[in-house]
Amino acid sequence: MGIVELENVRKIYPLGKVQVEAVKGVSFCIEKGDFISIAGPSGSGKTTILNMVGLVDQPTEGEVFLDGKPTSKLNDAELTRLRHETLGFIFQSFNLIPVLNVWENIEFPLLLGKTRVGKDEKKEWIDHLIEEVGLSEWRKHKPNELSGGQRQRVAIARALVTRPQIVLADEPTANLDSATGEQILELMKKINRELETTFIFSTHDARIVDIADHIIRLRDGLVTENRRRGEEAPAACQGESARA
Amino acid sequence: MPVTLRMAFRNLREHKAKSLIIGILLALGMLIMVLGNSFLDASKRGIETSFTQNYTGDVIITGVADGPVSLFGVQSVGGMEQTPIIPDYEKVFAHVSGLRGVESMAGMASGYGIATNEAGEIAEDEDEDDEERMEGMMAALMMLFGVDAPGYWELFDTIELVDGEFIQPGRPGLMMADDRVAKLAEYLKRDIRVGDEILIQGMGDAGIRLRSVPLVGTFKSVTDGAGPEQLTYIDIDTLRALSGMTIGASENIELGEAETSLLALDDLDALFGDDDAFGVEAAPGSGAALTEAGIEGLLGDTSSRERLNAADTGAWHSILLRLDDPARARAVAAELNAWFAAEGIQAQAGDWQKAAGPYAQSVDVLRIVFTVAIVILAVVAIIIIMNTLVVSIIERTGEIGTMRALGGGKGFVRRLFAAETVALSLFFGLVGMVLSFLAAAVINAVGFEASNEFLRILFGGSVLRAVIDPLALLWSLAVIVAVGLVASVYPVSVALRIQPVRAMQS
Repeated sequence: MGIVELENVRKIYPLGKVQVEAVKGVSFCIEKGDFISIAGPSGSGKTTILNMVGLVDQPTEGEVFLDGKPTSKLNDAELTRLRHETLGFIFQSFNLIPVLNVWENIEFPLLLGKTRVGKDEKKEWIDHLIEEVGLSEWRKHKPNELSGGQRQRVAIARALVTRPQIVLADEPTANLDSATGEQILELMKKINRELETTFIFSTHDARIVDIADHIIRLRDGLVTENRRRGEEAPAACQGESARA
Repeated sequence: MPVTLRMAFRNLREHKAKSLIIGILLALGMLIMVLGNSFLDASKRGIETSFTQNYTGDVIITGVADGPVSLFGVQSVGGMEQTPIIPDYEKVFAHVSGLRGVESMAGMASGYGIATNEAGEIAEDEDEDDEERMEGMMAALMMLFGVDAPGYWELFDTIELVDGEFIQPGRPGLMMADDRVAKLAEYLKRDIRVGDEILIQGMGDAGIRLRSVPLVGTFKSVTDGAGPEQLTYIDIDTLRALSGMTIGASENIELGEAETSLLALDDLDALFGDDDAFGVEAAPGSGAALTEAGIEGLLGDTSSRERLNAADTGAWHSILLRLDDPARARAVAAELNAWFAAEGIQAQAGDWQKAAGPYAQSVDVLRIVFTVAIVILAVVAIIIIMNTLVVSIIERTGEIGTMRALGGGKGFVRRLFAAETVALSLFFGLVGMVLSFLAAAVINAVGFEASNEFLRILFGGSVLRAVIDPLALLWSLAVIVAVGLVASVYPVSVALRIQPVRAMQS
């Protein structure tokens, strides 16, 4: 079993008096260390799937397994803990805390869980991340003093600070110019290689699709393509039969 | 500093407009509460000092009635209940005088009267305006304190003779404040000097009684606040006569068999039957048949009437005590009440508030009104703060969703908003506190003077003083923080309903 597995996942939203089926029975598996792109046009269900993988939304039917564990029966506190320990988030609009500076924004997730990290160890790790994302000179600056690219770099460092197994990135380049977008992608790819962190993108940015190890394409809530780069056969996790 | 506090402070600074709206409300609330409580406390202290020094002493003993008994009579529906006298006065007085901690004591009785002319009518002066006429009438209307001289003068030393002498034991006499004498003279259209007789019409349960009493002295108050200027001191025997506290009023009349059988008649027509129309026998003990000579004999002898109309020298409405330690007043009253119960004496003891009756309650009424006003203000403040916070939370939906998505539990969100509310309440509570001190300093510097007797009682002196009690400060700050926390309950519940998925939608 992979680090993430979806099994016949459906998601139905009420929209006024109408029920909208955003995801219509999707199954796939993601291996640890993958750099994976969930691509598709608007309304195809990619963000909904990312939300369910990120445990910020629950499937109407089916099951999401995270590191082999089913998540549909977990309560709010358990989901919160699992999110904190396993996942990192990079948002399309960066979502930094406006009143905290760069260093504090990156530190923020470490202050939420019950596990406490030693002061020196924490400082060393955050300083390292700030250096990695190239913001050493900006550590005391507030988000509103940074450019879009710098903000997204802070968001990447924040997503990595708890050393999560999986980082979820929702359209991370959508609000960036192309040059900055490429720099951000390179940075994430580098971290993916160095830390073996699994990156899952929801995107319709062709550049991400081009550098992804694993591509899942969606259309109208269904998986239309699920393959590893350079492979024709549908992708499957080790020991699993291929699902499409 | 914990991240919640750090974020709370910065959020408050970041959202200045919101913080100011809420803060001004809280600071104003603090100001009103601190100043209001300071006035009420000053007022209560002033009334207590004024009453204990001038009228009530520290403990009062009275008889028992259906309504509460004070120096001023019985508080009852319609105000018609007779003021009870203290039963077994000698025994009670002897017991109280032996109590530890009693510095001085005196008996007294009170009543109401009106000064009038011989003809009972007051000629109207066309030059006099309504206000002057009213002032004259108020001077003629007397709250009579029948005093046990000289014990009473030892108990209350807050008056100073202007002319004449104090009321002496066993001698009829009246004492009034010098300015009231002048007003009374104006009202009665005659000159009144010490030694002159003043005709007083008593208003009691026994009907209207007239007594002419010499004015033996005039006085002025030596205290700053409301003094005894409004009182008229009178010798106890005249007071008893005016108020109907006579032997006749306290004696039981024994009915003979004939009277009892008359009262027991069921058929009233039988009283007027033909047989015994003129056959009524002389009442036993009357000693005379119903003949012309007999009736004359009966009416001519006024000795019984005089005896029954004589003042009852054992009749007292109250005993007032001054204690070495006024703080022990309630304990002494409780001790006395236990003794009354054990001895089966229908008397009761209480502190100055019982003695002052409706006057002491005026501060309590004011405090209730003030508290209700504060509660209304608090509710309005809570609603405004709540609305402001809800708007703020809606604006911060994405931020809250992000915190939740990153692993912040509901407890974290709750702590964050509690920290913001408490920080805001404490900061602006302290601002309100500083404003209160400034306002108090201004009020004390300006020195608002009491323009009438009621305000003098209320201010606890002739000038309004704002003295801020540290305990009231802490209490007010606690109320302000509580208001902030209560106001944040609903907004926090709104924040807790924000799902982490909202982070993705921001």
